Amino acid sequence: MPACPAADVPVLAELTDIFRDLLRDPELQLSEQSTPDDVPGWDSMTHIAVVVESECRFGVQFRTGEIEDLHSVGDLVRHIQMKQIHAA
Amino acid sequence: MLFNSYIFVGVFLPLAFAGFCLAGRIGPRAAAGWLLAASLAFYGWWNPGFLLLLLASIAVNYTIAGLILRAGARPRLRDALLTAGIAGNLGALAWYKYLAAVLGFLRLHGIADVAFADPILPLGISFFTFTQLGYLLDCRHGALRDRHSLLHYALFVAFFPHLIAGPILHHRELIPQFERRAWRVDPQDIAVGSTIFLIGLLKKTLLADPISAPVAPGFAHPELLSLFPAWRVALSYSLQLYFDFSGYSDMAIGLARLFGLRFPVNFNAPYRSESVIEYWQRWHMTLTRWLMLYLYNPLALGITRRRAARGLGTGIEARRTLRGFIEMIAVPTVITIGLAGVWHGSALTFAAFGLLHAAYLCVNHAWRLWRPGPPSAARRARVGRVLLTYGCVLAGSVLFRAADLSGAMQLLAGMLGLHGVAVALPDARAATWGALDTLWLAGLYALVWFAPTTQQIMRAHAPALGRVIAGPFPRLQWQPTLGWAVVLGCAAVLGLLSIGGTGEFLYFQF
Repeated sequence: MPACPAADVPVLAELTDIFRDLLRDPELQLSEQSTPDDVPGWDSMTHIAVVVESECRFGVQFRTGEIEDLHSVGDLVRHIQMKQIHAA
Repeated sequence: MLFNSYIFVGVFLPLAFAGFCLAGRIGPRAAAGWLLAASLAFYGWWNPGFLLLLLASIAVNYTIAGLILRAGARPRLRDALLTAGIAGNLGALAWYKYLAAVLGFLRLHGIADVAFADPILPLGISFFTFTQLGYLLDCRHGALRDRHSLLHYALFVAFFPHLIAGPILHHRELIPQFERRAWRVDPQDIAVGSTIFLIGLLKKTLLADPISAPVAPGFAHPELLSLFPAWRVALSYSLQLYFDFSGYSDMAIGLARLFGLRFPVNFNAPYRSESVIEYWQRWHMTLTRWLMLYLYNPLALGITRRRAARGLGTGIEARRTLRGFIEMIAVPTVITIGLAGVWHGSALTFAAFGLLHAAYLCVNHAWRLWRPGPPSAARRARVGRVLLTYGCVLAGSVLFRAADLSGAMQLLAGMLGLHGVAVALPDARAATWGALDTLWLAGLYALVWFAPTTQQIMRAHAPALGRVIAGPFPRLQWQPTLGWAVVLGCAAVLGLLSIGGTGEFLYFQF
């Protein structure tokens, strides 16, 4: 199982790292406004992998019904932060 | 009742709209009630008997949704209710759509001989079944906390612009529009909605139907088609399907907008896709979305989580192993897209269509994983990718249309030149392939690949839900001006005059 870093790493930076790893693009820059339309290669497979990698790295769990709400990096950030607050 | 019929355009729609205007003055419930009554009349016009089926489906699903939500923290009870709901919906779908074909297959192979007359397929059953299955699944998985009112739920399912052939709507995008609207008629909605409807009508009557002339005779005798006729038949069908579904989708969006409601985009120039993955994001987008939400995502999520729990890895490197690729990509893709094919009908050709596209998608994903570098942005490379994708889609569309697998293979063999080279079609009605036919095909492909989409032409007026990216000819934007009024007025006359000779939408059969 991949090592899970501490959950206090800034969420956007960690998500950027996940996307860079999954998309093999070390130069990729993300903002909270980034959507699948703006990020080449962000398809359905990548979307699921991002969710599972996020679960691992941030120590959270997504419900199946929540995945449809994740339309942008900002949505991911907000969901992860909310889950971290509830878990604290 | 067809959108492209005089009874719809000349009688039903004006009555429905006039009633909506009056009911809107009384209040939002009256307006919603009127729209529901009009939608039921629309459905019952074709076959009043099946109106009972639609009403029963709405009543049963609404009841089960309420029970699931009331079951609260009892997951086993909620699962049992959901299972019963899914079984009931799929059972009805199987009875009307698949059972006769399955029993016929068993009889043909001497496995079982059960007499069963093929029932008439209720219009739109695949669409309203999937719409409601999504609602039940959302109730079970926590995406919905309170059940909507029966009036709004019934209107969500039965609203006539999407009832027969989609788009497959999600409750979150439509029911909130019912709940917050004052239901007053807005002149801008009328102008935008009627323009989109008209563009769709013209696509159907002037583009889709005329190009279909060689399709039926060609697919009836694919064994007789030599090289050029085979290509003509396949290309003509591909264009017919494109403009038929594009036209229908525009008409649905335009009709909803007349009543102040916005639908999601369902068709976004799919033949411009640079990969088959992109194609599925542009063709019948709401079906793809449904399958992703309720089938692919749970499957892929479960598989990926299990791998993570077993320490097998879920990232890019894990997917680049054979086992990782099969587990995380091939399995969910084949199941999802295979079922997408079968959703269209019980014929083996649809299963083959789904499996072919699943194979395309697997190859596409494998290429993305193992290709030596990022894709070239050069124009020539992009054109190559579009043509390669279109070639794959074209082969798939032959399976989609053929009466049986043997017929599809015959037509594909003809396209490969295995039936020789000639220019005449077997049916005299289809005539020969002359210079004018070539010019007509070229003109349609120019529209397919280079013209702005309806959404792009209407972009300044938020024609549908979701973002619309600017397209070619950005100045070609509809505006409520005298010039556009004259052009569209002439187009309306042309569209209305051409209604008489048009046929049913291809997606009505699903």
